[in-house]
Amino acid sequence: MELQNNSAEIYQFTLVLAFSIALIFFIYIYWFSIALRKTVLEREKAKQQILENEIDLMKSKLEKEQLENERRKRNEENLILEQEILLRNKELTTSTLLINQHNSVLKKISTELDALKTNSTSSKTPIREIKKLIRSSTNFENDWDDFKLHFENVHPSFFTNLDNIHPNLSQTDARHCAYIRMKLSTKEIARLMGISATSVQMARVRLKKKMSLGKENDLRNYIVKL
Amino acid sequence: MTDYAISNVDIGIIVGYFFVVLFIGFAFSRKNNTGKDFFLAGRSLGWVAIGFSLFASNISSSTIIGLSGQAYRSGISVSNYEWMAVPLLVFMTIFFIPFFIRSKISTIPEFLEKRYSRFARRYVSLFTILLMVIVDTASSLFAGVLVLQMFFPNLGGWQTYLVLTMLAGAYTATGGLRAVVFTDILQAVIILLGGSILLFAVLGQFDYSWDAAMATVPAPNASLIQPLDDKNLPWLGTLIGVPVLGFYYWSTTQIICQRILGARDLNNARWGALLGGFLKLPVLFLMVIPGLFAATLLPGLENSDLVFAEMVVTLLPPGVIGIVLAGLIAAIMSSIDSALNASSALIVMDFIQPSRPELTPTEIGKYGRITTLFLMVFAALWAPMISNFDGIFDYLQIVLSFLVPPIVTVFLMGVLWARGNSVAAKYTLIFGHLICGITASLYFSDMVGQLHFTIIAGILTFICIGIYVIISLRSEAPEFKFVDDLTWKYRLRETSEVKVAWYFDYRFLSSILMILTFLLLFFFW
Repeated sequence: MELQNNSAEIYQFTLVLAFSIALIFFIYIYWFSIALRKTVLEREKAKQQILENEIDLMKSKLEKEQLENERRKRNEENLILEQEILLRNKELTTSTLLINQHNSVLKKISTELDALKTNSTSSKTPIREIKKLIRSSTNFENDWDDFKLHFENVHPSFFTNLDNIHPNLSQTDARHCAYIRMKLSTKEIARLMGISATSVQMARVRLKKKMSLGKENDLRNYIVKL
Repeated sequence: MTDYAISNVDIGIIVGYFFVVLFIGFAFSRKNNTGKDFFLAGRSLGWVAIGFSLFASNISSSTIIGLSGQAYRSGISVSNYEWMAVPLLVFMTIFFIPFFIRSKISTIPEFLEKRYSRFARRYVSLFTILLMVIVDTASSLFAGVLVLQMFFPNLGGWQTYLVLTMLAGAYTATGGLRAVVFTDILQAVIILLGGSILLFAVLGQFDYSWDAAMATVPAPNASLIQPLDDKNLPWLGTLIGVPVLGFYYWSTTQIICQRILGARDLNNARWGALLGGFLKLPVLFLMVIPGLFAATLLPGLENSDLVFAEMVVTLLPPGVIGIVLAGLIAAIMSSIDSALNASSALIVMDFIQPSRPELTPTEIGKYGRITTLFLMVFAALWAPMISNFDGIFDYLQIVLSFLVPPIVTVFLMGVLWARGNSVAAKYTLIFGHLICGITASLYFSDMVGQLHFTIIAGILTFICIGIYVIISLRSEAPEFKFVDDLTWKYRLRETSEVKVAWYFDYRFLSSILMILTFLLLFFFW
């Protein structure tokens, strides 16, 4: 077979092919660089996102810590307050007991003096003078008002609350409640109110009835929660 | 006698090509400090680089010369070796690549150690190294230089070997796999360009009419499917033998799989393998068909392996000759650099590192470089020795076909059958090679008779699988937790992969590729 000379066509073909390869190559490089830029941008974005997340995390952590601190502080304050209340309660109890004792001593002296007045023949004027003195320093009404004042210092608005919820309570009942709130024992209450321990128990049953509390409710808890 | 002298323009193009390759090779050589960087490009390769590199490493000078030579002699059935790459790469994409990527191996034999035992790893590694250095690289160099010497009569034999291996070795030793892969992109483009030009020039002789060209070809030569008594490639050999050889080559040799192991992630590995398969499809047109038509154009050549050179010199004008020859040189260099890098990876990772675990990654990189240089010198000295084989391509395939069945068996069964154990692997390799060696000596002394070597390879594979299955069933089953991650199961498909659009899904792409292959097969039935 006779061979033809196709040099021109072959050159053309080669050039076209070479140019198309170059074109594809450049398109590919272009596309690749865009993709690369995109990935770089995305990576940067992701990095920033991570950073932001970290900052957020730190912020929330800080906030949490602050809150925790505040809570702790409040707890401490509460504790101090409670201790103060306890201390005041104790003071209140002692002072109440003291006043009470003092009153009862005065009462005894007054009775003794009465006996002396009827038995003795000596001058009655000094005795009368003494009795006058005793009467002036024994003040049962003041005693209650004084207590109320002290008590409200420690447990503010206790009586108002009590009166609002249970308006049917007498003054003695309110006093009983106050003693219970002070967490005094039955014996102490008996002494303060000048009655026997059994009477205190009975008074408590009455109180429960007046407050319309069922058997399942503990009077002490109920009052403390008031 | 044809005058092979070529013009200065062609020489200029070839020299320019050398410089570009060297430039690319060294430009991508940075950041190669550790063994992982050196052998696996820091596991950073994208699918385009992997695909082109697979193609360039696969096409050697013996492919270009051998394919056109065989086509000239006996028709296009030789390209069954080429398109078979597609189904095998698809098979690999589905069944093997997930394990290769997930198990983070650095050499393919390392997979065998994880699946079976250190013995299997070392045995296969040693076998691969010997085959690669002594057969693959040397025959590619030899065939290429034989053709080059016709164009450059002044070049002495050993000087040409030395220049080619030195050039490839220089950037391979400095840049490792990264340099190999990125020069491969250029090499693949040049190879495809050269093939296209040659096809165009050949068709030009028939006034660019495909039908006119085909009309001159004797009908049997234009068919991929040949009768059972065919001397070159009978259909049964295509069916049972070629897949075995192809599977060995594409799925188990370090030279091919190394770039897949260097992939950025599973998807890039899959896309790369599929792109490599896609690039293999036009080989039939670019390298086989020119040889087929050359039988009409240049009848009566004594040595069919010279048909490539004859075509180049008689059909192409000056300047274009340089480009096509650059394509041939590209095929030589891209195969040599891959082989150097792969065999040094096998030597260092499979033999030096396990016996010296105290080596730092940087020291491993250094060992890799030294081994590459050593292998480079060895290849240059060894290649001239294999001068007395006719039909280089045949020779290579025959030697391979008798040695690969046991290796194919242990890989294939290892992944597909969880019951297979290390005892079976060991004895399949030993007995398999014994049987294969006996068969080979019978074949070469003409005692097997009519059977084609690809059919024998297929039969040997069935025998090896039989040995493997029997020994596995007669011995203890492997512990489930060891093989669980390394064997294929349906559920593995649903793992946490990066979700991609359906048209990027490897299953879709694989189907497209298979359809194209069937069309090709149908067209040339």
